[in-house]
Amino acid sequence: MMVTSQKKIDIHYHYGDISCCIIPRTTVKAIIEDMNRFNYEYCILSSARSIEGDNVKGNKEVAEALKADPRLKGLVYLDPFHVEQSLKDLVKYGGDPAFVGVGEVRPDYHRLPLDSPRYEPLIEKALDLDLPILTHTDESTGKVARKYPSLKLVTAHANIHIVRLYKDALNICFCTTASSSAWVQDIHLEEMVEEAGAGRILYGSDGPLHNPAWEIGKFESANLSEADKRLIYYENAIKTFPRIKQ
Amino acid sequence: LEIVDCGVFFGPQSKGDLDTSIEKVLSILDQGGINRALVTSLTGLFHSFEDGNEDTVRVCKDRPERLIPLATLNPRQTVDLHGAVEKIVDADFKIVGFFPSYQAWSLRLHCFEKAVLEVADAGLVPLLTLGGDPAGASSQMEFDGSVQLTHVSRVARLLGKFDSPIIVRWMEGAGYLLTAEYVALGKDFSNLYFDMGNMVTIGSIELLIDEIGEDRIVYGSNTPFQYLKSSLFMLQTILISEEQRKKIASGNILKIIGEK
Repeated sequence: MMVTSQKKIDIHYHYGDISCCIIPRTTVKAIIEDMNRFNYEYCILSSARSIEGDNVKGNKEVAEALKADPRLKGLVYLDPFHVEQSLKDLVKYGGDPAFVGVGEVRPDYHRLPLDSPRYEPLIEKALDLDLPILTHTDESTGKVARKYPSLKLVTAHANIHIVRLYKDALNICFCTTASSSAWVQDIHLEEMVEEAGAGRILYGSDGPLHNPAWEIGKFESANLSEADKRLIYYENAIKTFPRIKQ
Repeated sequence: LEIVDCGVFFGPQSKGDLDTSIEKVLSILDQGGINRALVTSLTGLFHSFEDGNEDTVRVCKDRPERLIPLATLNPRQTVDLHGAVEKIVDADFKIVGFFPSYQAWSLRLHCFEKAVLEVADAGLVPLLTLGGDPAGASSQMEFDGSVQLTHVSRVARLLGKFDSPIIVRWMEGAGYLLTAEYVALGKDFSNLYFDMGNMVTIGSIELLIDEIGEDRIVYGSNTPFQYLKSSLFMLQTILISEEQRKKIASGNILKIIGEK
């Protein structure tokens, strides 16, 4: 059964195992099967291994995975404790058209806010290469958005509270993947769309940690127009990550 | 697909501006095509279990074809557990829900052990709902769903002498933490049943089925607190046979309450 007929771009999908749990469907074959099940036109992968320690191997694994299907796109991961290596990867993969941005950077995991000096050369290089950054949201996201107004930032795990914090920073878009909260009264999708505008909300599942059905179900439960859903599921991703179509 | 949702709530609450009236809840169930639901009064969770049980009976009496009453019992709210369970039996409830995280008590409490033994001894089915609203009492570590989950094996052992199933539900977002523990519990305790509604990791429900079979898995949505179609779309799209899906969607829970 196909849960919606709208085509989608998932901007938040991890590649590889994650230490906190069993993830049964991590192979490229499984990811492609799941893309077909949920009507994905593109799926943007970022490395789980990179977050948890080995960034060189992680980014390389993503680059290999992208070769399996042109509908797979990638994000380069940046490790702020290995700045030189991350810069090398940024240049290397930033020149690969299959990579469309940076992320999902995890200031929370490294316990280092995105506005720390260690991130600075990495952010500036991403800006040079015109690569948007998908970031796990924290209190430093707004500071970075204000410091680099031409940088495109996408906050992962956004909800109505995040929108209210950052809606005035127009270079921030909001990805709704809400791993940490599934509560209607926390997320408030309709209000997110009303306050930020549908043009700034992006669909992402946090797969394979999360089932795309779970995330799609939120949009299909909320009272949103088909036009708004088209923006959220697809068009905003193309606008934010233009390399997808290049 | 006939669906009986075993996690639905109604009534007044003060933890947010969500409309939790029975009318709103029924309209959400209608939109999702949910045929029947086990419902619990939020008054029972948040204020008085006795008042809540009265509300639940009243609401279900008006819609017997649609709503199945789920009692609550807060073990910290009475010293007469036997009398409390007798009242629940007299009101014709079949299942009794415990909400330790919401009510900020631990599954390690001795008064809970006595309560759950009374429930099983009376032939009622205990349902443990772990986790809770992040804005609520469960923000204290001891009442966190993951911590409560560590006590489920003790409850299963405690009730081993009874023929009663014990249903385990989850009411937090981070359901990806559940898979390994559900599999381990399910393999060692045949009296445990699990709700798949918050098993959010893709492939995890299929894995649980592979490991313990489809006969001990039920469906719950946590309506109206969570988006109904999140769990519903998972139920509809998991890679299993239609026979397995029917059991999970309604067959298993109807068997538990003696309707099948």
